[in-house]
Amino acid sequence: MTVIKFIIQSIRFYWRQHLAVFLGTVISTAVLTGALIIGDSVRMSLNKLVDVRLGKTRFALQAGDRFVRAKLASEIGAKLNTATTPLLMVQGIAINPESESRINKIQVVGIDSSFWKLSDIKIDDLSNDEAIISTNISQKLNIKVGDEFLLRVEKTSVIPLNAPFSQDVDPSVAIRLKVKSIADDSSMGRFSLKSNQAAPYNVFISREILSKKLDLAGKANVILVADNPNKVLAVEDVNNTFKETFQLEDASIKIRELSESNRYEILSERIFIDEPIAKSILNLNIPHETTLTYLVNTISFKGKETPYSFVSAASAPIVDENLKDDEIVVNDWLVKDLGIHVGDSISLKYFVIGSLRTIKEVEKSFIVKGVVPTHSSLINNSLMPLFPGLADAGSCHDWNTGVPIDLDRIRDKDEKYWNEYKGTPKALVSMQTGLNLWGNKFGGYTSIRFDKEKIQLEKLSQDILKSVKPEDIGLTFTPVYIQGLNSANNSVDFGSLFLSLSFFVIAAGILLTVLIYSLNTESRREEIGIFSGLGFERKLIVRIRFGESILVTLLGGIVGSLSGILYNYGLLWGLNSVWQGAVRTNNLKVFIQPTTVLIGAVSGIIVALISIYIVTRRKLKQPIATLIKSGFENPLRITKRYFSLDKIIAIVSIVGAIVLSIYSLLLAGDINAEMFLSAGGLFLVGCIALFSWYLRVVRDRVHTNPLSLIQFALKNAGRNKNRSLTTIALLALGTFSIIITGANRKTFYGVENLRQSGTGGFLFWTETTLPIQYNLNTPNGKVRLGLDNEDILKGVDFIQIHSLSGDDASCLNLNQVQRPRILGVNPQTFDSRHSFSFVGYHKGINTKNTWFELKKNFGDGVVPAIADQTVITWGLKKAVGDTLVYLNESGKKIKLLLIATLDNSVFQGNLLIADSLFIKNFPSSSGSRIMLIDAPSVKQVQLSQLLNTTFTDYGIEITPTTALLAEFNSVENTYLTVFMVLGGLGVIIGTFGLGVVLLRNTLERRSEIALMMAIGYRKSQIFRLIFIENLFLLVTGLICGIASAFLGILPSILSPSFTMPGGFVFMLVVVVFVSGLVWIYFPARNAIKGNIIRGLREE
Amino acid sequence: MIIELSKVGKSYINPGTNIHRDVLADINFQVNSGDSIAIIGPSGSGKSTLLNIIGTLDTPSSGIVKFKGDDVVSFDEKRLAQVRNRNIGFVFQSHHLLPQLSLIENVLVPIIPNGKVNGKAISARAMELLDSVGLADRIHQRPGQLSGGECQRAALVRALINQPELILADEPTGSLDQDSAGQLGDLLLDINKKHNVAIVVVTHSLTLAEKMKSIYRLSHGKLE
Repeated sequence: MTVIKFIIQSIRFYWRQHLAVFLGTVISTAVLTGALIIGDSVRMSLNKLVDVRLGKTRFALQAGDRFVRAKLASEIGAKLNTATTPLLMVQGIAINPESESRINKIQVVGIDSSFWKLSDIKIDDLSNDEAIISTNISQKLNIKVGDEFLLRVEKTSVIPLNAPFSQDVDPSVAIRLKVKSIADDSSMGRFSLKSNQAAPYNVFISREILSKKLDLAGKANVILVADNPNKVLAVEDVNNTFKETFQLEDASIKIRELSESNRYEILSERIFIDEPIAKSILNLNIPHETTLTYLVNTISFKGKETPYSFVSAASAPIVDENLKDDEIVVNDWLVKDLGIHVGDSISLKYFVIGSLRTIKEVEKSFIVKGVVPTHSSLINNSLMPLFPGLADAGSCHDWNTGVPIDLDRIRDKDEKYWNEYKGTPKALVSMQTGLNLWGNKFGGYTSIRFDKEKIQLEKLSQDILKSVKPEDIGLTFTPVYIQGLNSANNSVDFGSLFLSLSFFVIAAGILLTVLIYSLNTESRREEIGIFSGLGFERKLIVRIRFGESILVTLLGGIVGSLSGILYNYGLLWGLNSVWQGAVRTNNLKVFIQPTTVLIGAVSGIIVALISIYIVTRRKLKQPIATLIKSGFENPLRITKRYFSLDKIIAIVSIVGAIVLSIYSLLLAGDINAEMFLSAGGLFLVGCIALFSWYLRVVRDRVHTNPLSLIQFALKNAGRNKNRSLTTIALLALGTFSIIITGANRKTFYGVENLRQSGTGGFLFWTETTLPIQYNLNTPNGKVRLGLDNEDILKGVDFIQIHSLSGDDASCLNLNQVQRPRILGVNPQTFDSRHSFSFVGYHKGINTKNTWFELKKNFGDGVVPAIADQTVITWGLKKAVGDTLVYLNESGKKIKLLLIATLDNSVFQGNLLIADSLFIKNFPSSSGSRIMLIDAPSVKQVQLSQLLNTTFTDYGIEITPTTALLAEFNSVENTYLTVFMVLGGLGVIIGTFGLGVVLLRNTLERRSEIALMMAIGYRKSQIFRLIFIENLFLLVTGLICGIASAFLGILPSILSPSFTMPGGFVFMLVVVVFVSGLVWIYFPARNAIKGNIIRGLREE
Repeated sequence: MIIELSKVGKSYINPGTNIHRDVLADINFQVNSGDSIAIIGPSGSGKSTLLNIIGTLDTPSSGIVKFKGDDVVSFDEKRLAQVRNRNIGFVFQSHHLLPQLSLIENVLVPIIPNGKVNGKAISARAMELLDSVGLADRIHQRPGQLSGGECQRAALVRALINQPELILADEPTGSLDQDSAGQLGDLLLDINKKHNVAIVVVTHSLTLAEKMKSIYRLSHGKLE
């Protein structure tokens, strides 16, 4: 007989116990491996999605509100020898005219045939009325190939819509289209430049027709570059090529020749020349003149008024360089109109246009310093910028300026002036004065002029091109593909997440292994004793026992890791269907990496072997004599202690828990949930200690009268107190965790009106597809949007928020986000209302008026920002005090410093900065697409109807703030459901452990049971005895867990809108109970089947 | 007559070889009130098997076992349990006292299956019996705190608690030292005399056997 032979014989003989150890190992390994595989699967699925949404695209220029030449794409492509395509991407609304169903916030992609070169498919050019739609649009609007639908497209323009005097135009353009085909995932249906697993709504139409509709012929705002098949391109290569092909037109700059003044004039299609561009041009060291022309409402002198005149600020020689800040030069016409003389003081009234076209009329007085001719070579109509709606107006009555014009004030002579001199300025001020008064976030100059005698046009163009860098105005290519992969690779770690969520199942598997192995060891303890008695070295005994276990656990590990694959399929099925709330996609696929399976198998085997080693070591530490003796000989030592540890712990914990709960209840204001949770935990410890005490008391109490069956059963439970307590503790802890988790769902309905809550006390969160350009709180804004006669709006406050498009950093996005959406908010709005709650602060931040810290100066290029704790921790994987780098509209790097974190709020997924700093850095981000609405809840229905009607064509989506928060919470709640399901499964498997404990007990008590039969106990009585004993453990464990959990969730229960999934929790507890009963029943039945005689011989 | 065995035989089938092995053959045996009988024989002669059949713990392969004139084959599990509980007391080589119970509680364990009983009377009886075996001052002790002899005496009291007509003892002194074994033997005889309880003892010990009125030798399955 060799050791190996002995091991094989033992495995064969004790195959039942080994099978059970094998099953325990299989369970823990399967769950461990499954959790690891799910991490790989989610990561790989997100990686795969990068290919699906980008095709062959590797780099993208996203110009936002700026437009470059569409031809730029082919020029870059030719130089890089790779596929490129220009896109015109805007937001839109798709409408099925038959059903009137609509989808807001769709991505309208203007393409040409080159777009398909970035994929593997070939599609014919789209005609003017054709569109390709993504599958989700087809499904949601119920339209198929050949059907017609209406597309409402955001009216975007080269001139920022919120620039001074920009035209008041319809916010959208409608296009009727026919569905040419439906694009699924394999045909760019998911095309998106944003790292998000949620499928975008895409409509692909001809770029040509789209650009015509938007007056953007030949323009593009996105350029995609594929990889060069022969050379790996770096982003620097692409950006260098971009610089080589960059033209002034790409910076919206044009040069015109002014023959009258003999000048070359630099103009911007955006009206105001961007500051970085102006700076570059002015630094050319070429003599130049700068001008800034503004429309003033009134020029007045002693009661006389000249309405609506252009006034220019200019440098010499147009304006005398010695002209002071309070001095003005007027033209002949104005002198005659107002009867003014040099030295008179005249007054200018003009609009200062603020955020959301808020207008404020400002008055400024000037001393008339001189008079110039109404028309001259330098002072003429060319000084008026090409304001659309003004420059092309036939008469003053045709003006469309975007600011209120009182046409009644326009006199005949004004019309005559317009006919004769157009926008020739009637007055001139110094350049500095003009910059001070009318310089704005879009730029300070409307033109820069150069003397034709001093420079040639070609050289001027070249010099300007050399000095103006695309990145100065935020035009750079980004490696979107690599960024996408990075986002996917650093996505939410589902491996760790599911390891935590599967904790109870893994623990149950390990527990089973340990219990079964202990049972096996217990039943073979004499064997160990005999080995020792026969002179086997302890090492050899360990080797023999381990030899058996290694074979079993190895096999268990292998089968477990393979089962883990199946478990992973199950989990992914859940995530793609019933738990979709956590991942917002049904596109997660199983990816199995052999290394992961191996890691899972090895981890499972190691965990099982460690457990087995610990048990073996413990058993081997017992004296040989004890090992050889049977269980009957083990004496039970009774020691009388009045102040036992369990008694003290029980009293202190339970009293502590009650005191803590009462104190929390009596606390004025909000109920402290953490305190109750602590009280619940304390109560659980107290309960377990109480039962430890009780079992000891029951066991030690001496009855002089015959025991009842129940008393006898309880004494039996106290016989192996630690084993009984372990059973109670495990069941209690499992039940406690399940209920606490179930009730710990994020709910808020009871506190929705509180300003400090995540809703901020606001009623609605609205998002529009098209920006709203007016301030809805002002009479002008209300008039413009047709809300001026609505009584319901009394007491309603619109908090309009600026937004810079970015990635969704909320928990709805699994990818790690690089550039979350930035929101510009007014700190005063939230501070005055004490809205929202902060949970973390950067050092030195004022914790009382934290919102105002958004305006604080943290240094050059540093912008303070606030975000939800969830966003910072999970979405960005950052902490308070960290910074995020963005490029502002001027191409300058700005650091967003995270100064404070908000508790769970409607702002999840966004970074908040002060609106003043937002406008400063991103002036072109037109209007507002996001609004918080502060209104009494009684107006909810009416207000919602009014806004829906008014802003239908803006693609408004009105969400009650509570519903929005609920959507965010649903992610966490889904995870909690997963935890509850897996936790429940763990506890159910744990009840199998209860069966093992019972089996172990009955095994140890075989002779005791036999004796009872011998002295006249009926089998049914013995069965009852065993059943009661274990039912007591089961019920006690469940009651301890349930009672403690309910104390822990008392605040939720007290909340008027307690939303625990009671049915589910109840069902889970019932399943645990029934499963426990089953696992008690069978071992108990088995115990009474034993042979009495054999049992009596077990000595 | 308490127990009567007629032509009782017991055979086992060896699971490995499928060969029948006769342990007992054609046994005729009677136990009457007040009898004290010793059954002796070499190891493996079937002494314990015979005792188990007498005590209704085991069933014979052939022959008839009658309890007070009734064939035990006709007894259901409940009736058999009742017989063992109320009419027969068992003492084994090992005391089989439950470690979680005190001495008095162990002694009272056979009372539990009876359900409603006069607790005080029973307790008084238990105290009386324990006093008679010299354990009156140890009633609150656990088995682990007693000597082997004390435990075996307590086991004897447990066997007597339901006032049986018959005590069956299987090697009751097998795990005791000489003094304790002597004491236990005397105690059995004392009980036999005082309480008129029939006693059947299976033993290797001739000293104990000789204390009994009748001695049977079991050899090769036959009772002599």
